[in-house]
Amino acid sequence: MIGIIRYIVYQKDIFFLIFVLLFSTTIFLSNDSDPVKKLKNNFTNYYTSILGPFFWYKSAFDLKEKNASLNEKITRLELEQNQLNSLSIENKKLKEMLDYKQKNNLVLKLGEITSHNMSPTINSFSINIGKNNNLESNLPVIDMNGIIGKIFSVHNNKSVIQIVTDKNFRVSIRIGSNRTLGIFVPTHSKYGIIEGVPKSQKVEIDDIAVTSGISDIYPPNIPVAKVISSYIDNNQFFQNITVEILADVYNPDFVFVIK
Amino acid sequence: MIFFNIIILLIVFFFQSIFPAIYFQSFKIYPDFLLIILLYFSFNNTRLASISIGFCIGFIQDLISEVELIGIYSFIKSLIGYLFGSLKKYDGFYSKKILNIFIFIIFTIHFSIYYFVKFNNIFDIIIFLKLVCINSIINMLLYFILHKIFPLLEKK
Repeated sequence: MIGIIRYIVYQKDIFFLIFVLLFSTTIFLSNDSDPVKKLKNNFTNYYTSILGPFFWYKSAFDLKEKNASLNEKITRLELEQNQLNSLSIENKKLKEMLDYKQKNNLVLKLGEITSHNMSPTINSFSINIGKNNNLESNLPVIDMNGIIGKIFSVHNNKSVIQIVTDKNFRVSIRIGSNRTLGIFVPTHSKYGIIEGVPKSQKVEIDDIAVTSGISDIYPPNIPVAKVISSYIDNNQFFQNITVEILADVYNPDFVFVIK
Repeated sequence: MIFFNIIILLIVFFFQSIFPAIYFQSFKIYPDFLLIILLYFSFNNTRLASISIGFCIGFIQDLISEVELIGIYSFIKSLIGYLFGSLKKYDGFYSKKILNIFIFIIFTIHFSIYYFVKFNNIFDIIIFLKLVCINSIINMLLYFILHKIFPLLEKK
């Protein structure tokens, strides 16, 4: 400490000069006149041009961090956007279903699909309504396009639906201009056949098979499937009619249970 | 002695303020009598005193003539006071001619800093050099005249 004081005393001229120069500079720079402002600007320009490469390096590093932060932000925004899109689609579907419900005379109960089970033994969905919503077994389940299946088992807040594509599923239908009776039998994927339609009956492509109403489960005139091909084999008693299921059995979000 | 010095300083300030300007192109040039007086003061005082006197002269000069650039003269005059003080401190190491060259260089430094700051935004190197040279030469001539009447190193 004493050494420092001695050094300062010995070099007092220099230290005093530095002090005076700093004081003068402070007075000078505290002035807001135009020449001083311009001088400040010029010095800033010199400073940035001299230290340009250092700033460049610094900005490159900053850029890397900023990039990571922006990537994170983009990902978050994309997720939000996807969520919004999904909600928008869901909203649209629900609006359509609400419209369908109001137009239809049937007493419908809306349920949301909670899980899918596409095992080889049984094709089923689970929905989020059950006994607490006064549901019981064998109630028919539809979407806006047609029959989806029937309730297979009911729990308090959950029901399992046997889907129309299940191998054991059968439904009595009417088809053609004569409303001929037949049985819809699923075959593979979203296709099936109509059994029991006599060869004499006229069935055309794009004819819609609807529920017959003679069943205890399904009310009449609910669309089931659309004819995609039909041919008559002389060696068989009935027509071979191939149909395509109308209901969206692969991507349903909401379904109606008919009460 | 101090009183005498203050009187001289006041006279020089007065003389500086009433002295007519010399026009060079569109620029006004004033001989800097205060710079000469600082030179004389520096050669008759210590280096620390030279810096102090330089700062005081510069500050008063700022208040009188350069309010827009207040601080510029106190900065330059302090620095020049230090340089004159150093010149005096090592007096005897060099001849009178060398001394005069050093004095001229210090004058040049003084006007270079001043014009660099003053005309920073309209910086033209030719005009800048001309102004610095003319000012330095005028002050050098003034110094020579004064030196003939009042020799700088009278005490020696």
